[in-house]
Amino acid sequence: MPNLDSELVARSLRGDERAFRELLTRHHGVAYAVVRAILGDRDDVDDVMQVVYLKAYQGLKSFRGDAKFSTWLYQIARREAIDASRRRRRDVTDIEDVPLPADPADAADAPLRERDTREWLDRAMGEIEAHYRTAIELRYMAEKSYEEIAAIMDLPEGTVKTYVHRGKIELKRILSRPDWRARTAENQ
Amino acid sequence: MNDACTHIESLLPGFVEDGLGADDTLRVRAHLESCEACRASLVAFQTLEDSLLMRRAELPPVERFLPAFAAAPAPAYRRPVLMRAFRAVISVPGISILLAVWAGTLAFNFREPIGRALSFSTPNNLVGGIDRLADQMVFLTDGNVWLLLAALTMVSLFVAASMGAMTLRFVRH
Repeated sequence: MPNLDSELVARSLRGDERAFRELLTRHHGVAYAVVRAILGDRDDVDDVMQVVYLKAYQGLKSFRGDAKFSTWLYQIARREAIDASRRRRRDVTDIEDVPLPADPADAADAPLRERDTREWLDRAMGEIEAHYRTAIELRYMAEKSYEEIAAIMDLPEGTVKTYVHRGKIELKRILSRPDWRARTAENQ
Repeated sequence: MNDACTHIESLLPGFVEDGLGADDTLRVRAHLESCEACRASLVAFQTLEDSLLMRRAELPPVERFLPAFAAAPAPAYRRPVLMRAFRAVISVPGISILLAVWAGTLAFNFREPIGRALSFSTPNNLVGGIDRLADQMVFLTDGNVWLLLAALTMVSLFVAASMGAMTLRFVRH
């Protein structure tokens, strides 16, 4: 609802902090998804997120409303995450070097298996191209439609679909390696 | 994996999302009927889809990242003291102008009875002059005490509201 965003921006500029908080809550998924897509599951994600929201607050006066607020926030988050990534070179870990998570069959509880799955997926996400990763995170973590992602990333909708689908094919290729296959077979 | 399987695999992510057109959906279904490898791929894509759908749960609450001013339960923003004083004081000329216009209009409309009343208010009989002014006010309101009280109340409320607004402007901003 762009109109609601415009109203919230106007109220925020008048000093209404509740409006600013509501504005960020509405688009939190976008900002976090982008930062996670660029930085991965790193410790400094929280720090970068705080900087993103602080810069959004400080720069709100420069938001002219030409683009959607989500697009504007996406650009801030992307810029900050890339800067953080440059400051501290990413520790790229090859998927083959990752120790196998605990055997799911031996796990006593389901939450542990879920955590293992998340870890594996995070590792695999780190292997695929950044623009595939960003589109996938916006789709699943931020729960945005292809149309919304296209507007946020300023790309044609067809391109976004291609990114997500190719990203999934890449993920499937990585996760289909023998060790992963053996693990998923035991899960089923 | 032959060319047909490669093509079908490129369609499987959309197939799992139920986002293919009718023709492609039929094509994928027909191929899956006869290809065990692609059926295994489909299972892998469905497992991946389930894992991706769980990523939403990893989204931490926004409050974790909000700057302190926005995370607090609506802390009132206060302008610096000098700015507050300026904003309060700058309202005084505006209110003064309004009061002057109001008093001037009143004086012009009732210049004759007011003039008569003032002619008695010499230093020697100031009290008598005030009494006569009061008499004139009663005369102006045609002896209607309620109308007189209403007029006085309106003036009092106006002055009180102006002073209150000035105070609030200073305290809140």
